[in-house]
Amino acid sequence: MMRYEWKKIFESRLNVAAMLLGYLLIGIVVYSYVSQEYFYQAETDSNIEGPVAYRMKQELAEQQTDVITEEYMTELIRDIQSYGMDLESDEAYVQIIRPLDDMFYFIAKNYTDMRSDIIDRNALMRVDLQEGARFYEQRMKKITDYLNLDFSFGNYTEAEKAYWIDKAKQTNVPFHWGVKAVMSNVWELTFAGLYLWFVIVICASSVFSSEYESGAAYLLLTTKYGKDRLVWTKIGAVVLFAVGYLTVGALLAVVPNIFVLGLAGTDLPVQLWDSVIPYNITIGQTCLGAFGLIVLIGITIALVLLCCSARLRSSLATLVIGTALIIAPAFFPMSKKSGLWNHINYLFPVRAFNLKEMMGSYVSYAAGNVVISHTAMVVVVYTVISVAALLLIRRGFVKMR
Amino acid sequence: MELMIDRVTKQYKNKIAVDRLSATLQEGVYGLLGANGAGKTTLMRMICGIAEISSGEIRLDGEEIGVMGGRYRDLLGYLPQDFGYYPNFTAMEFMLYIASLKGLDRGYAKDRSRQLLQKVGLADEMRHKIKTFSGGMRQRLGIAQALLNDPKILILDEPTAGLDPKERVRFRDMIAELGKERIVILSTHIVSDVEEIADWIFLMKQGQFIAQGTLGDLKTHYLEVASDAEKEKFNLEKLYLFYFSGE
Repeated sequence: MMRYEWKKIFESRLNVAAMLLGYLLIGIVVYSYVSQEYFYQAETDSNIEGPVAYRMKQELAEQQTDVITEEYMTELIRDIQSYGMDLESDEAYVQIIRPLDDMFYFIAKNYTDMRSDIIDRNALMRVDLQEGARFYEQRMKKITDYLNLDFSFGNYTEAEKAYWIDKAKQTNVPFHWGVKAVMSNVWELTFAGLYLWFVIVICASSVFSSEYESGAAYLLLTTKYGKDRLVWTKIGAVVLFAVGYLTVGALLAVVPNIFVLGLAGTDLPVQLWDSVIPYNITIGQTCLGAFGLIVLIGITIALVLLCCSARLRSSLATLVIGTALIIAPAFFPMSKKSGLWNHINYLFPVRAFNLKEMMGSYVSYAAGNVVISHTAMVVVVYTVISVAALLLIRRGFVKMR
Repeated sequence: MELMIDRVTKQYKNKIAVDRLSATLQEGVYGLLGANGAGKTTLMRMICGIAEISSGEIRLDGEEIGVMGGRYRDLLGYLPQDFGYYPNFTAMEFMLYIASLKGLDRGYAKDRSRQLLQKVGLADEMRHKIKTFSGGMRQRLGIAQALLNDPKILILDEPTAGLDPKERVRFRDMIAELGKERIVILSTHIVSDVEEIADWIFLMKQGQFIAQGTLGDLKTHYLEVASDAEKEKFNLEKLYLFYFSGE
């Protein structure tokens, strides 16, 4: 039975066109990321682009340090301060920032206020080095200060503060250092998951409704398995399709990267992206986790749309709902007054798979002393929605009208 | 086997599509004759369990069909009116798909499908995609799928639509044969479809049976009420016009 359900999905011209377009977009994104990376080579005073740039970044990272110790940070910041420059100036960029490459931004971000969207380069000029850089102390202070801020939309509860501080304290320090450019590339490609969700929307929206639109439902529902096994088979076919399509998409995105650039950086701590992240996981695990979230959300979107497809019995209406579900929340602003709205807003698909941001933004959901992180909430909410949709799909399809 | 339709009603908001219909059906061919919108399709869908019954019930050998669920559907063969086929499926794939939904073993399903496609004259086209079929060929394929599980209750909604005269004759012979050992209900608004093969005819108008019986019963009734001029040449066509004139 499954074979025939897949045949229906794969023989629709619209579906096939959407699938190919999704993969084509990934191909374009992969190519642009790999080819656009550049590295400034001081000896020749030129920018080196493409795969060679990655190798040079790696060499630089290896020359810098293995581990980000307090001593290394102190010396480095002292060296930066010795120039006495405005670090926002072009001159500082050429003389200090460009040669340090990623390292500069990593350190500067650690000394930048957590609320700031941009890195305060000159924060490094204000670091008092009398007792050393106190890099990790500054990390904890930054987190604690943030948790104790007054927010117009509501403050952290004591339970939330304790939860996050405890987590942050448990982070393994000092951090290992290395080149993260390759994995950052892989990370950026997770955003291609958004395109692939659209393909799932297109393919899932007609699964049940097309049977009604063509009149075939009247035949299918009179067969022995038409009201049970058929429904589960259709659901199974779409879920397997979604997982398979996303997996192939991920492989298409990652394999060329690995082939051209290797796997450097997978075992680096995720804190190299943002030192405040309070989880002991590596960058590679974060990418895998993001893929897991993309798959989970993709499955949930598919199941919700199957539910709409079965109940509304209109492919077009289902397609519109699916598209709106992905696109519209991107335009929902964060409220300055309502924490509740913000917490709901964080759960929409477009904000629920960016694991890097989710882990470093300290968004949590609290009920009394029970606190769960944004990531955990996403897993819970999407699992619950999936189960609810599963229960409603069959009723929608077999309900007689 | 006895299929009992007991005061079955279907109401859509303010419109009553089927109005307290009762009938008891045993093996044989039953013709449901009526103009478009008379409620034939709705009644058939209720018998098939795909349209909710507003009131009343349908029982097979004393058991309510909704309670029987899959067991009832296992006995059912249904050809819906104007139903969609999967254009990219071949005739054989379509048959095997429906066979899998009917729970037939794959090996048996293949043999049975070949046999039925032969029977409806589509043996040479079994590997052709349905999108290349004419309306008549699709209708024959629909008839073949309805017979896949050797149903004990066969419900055919406008089965002769799209068939040419030769196919129609062949189809009538097939139905007459099938009706010997199962309940066959066929709806049509083409009088000649049921005239020769139906053991019992229901005339349906505005959701009600306005007359029913064997062709002989209907003729007797007609002769009682028709004028002398009308009595001379009786056929079901005239009876139909007698009941449905003005529609």
